[in-house]
Amino acid sequence: MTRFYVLLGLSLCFLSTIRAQTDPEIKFVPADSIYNIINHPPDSTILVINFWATWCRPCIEELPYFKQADSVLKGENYLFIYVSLDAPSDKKAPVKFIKQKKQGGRHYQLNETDLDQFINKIDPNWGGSIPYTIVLSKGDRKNHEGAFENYRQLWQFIRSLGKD
Amino acid sequence: MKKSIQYLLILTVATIATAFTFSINGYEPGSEAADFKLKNINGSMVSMADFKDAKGYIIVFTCNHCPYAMKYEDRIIALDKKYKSQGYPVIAINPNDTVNYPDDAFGEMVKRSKEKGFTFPYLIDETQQTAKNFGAIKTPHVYIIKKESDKLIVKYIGAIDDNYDDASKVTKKYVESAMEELLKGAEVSVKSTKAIGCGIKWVK
Repeated sequence: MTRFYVLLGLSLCFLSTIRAQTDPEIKFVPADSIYNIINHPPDSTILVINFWATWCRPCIEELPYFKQADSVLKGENYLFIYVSLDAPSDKKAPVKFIKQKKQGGRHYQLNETDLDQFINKIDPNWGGSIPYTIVLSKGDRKNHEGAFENYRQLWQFIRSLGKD
Repeated sequence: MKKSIQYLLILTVATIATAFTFSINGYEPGSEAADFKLKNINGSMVSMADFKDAKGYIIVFTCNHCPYAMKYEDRIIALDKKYKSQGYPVIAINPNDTVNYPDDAFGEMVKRSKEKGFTFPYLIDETQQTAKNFGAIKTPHVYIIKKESDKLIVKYIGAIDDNYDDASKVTKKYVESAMEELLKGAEVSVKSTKAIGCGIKWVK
């Protein structure tokens, strides 16, 4: 009987770790990591990078559009990346949020508070307001400061890369 | 058409186009600012001209709901305490759409001002025209203005300091540095900086 309980206990532990692995998680990274992603995109991949924060209502309202686009573009070499600008002192809020919304894609939280430098390095034309979105591939990039009004607007932006 | 006239025409069009662009984008350091007349939380209308003894102003576009702006409230109060007596009062302006962001409505502004003990006017920019004139795009967004002859000249635009999250970890106090230079009669060395903030909520 004891063996049964031990096995049961171990299975439950195992199952709980599997669940943790499949939940979205957020990597807490310095500014350099973000510059690296932008400056060295993988070959034959289109990155969609969205800067957001849990306290930014327009950011939250457009996240479902990104989720939809991600799902539609599965298997087509697109990688959706989210960079949370929630304060470094608050790591809980963004994780809780994306878990709740099941917002897939790759998630980062910026570990940096000197944003003057960061904003200018990301894009000298970025005024600093969020949401802010980039679509880029090796050799091509488009930026959008402000929210997308609807899914269609986001879709057109994402698909506009390479078409001028 | 004679070549010289052609060149003159192109130059004229280019100059007008550039001027037009600047007025669309708002002020830059060095721009002359227009005054405003906006309602304060006590119901009275306030303009920069009302402060006859002021040498200049620290204009802060800010609001109630934005966590970025909220993190700076104490520091904005401190700026007013430090520089009002030296001739540069703070004037706070809320430019947001209060229908979709009821936390920023006039009544809430009155409450917040009382709760935090704001020592400066907290004005509502109902038409959002002042924010557009300045070219403000987010909260908080600071414009330091200096009176030169009879003109209001923008001397600094941007962030308050380099750490929104923790005031004790600030290494660069942009507004204070600019103020110290202005009070000495020197030129501002860092005329503009950028910061993350909540985009201004424009009425659709």
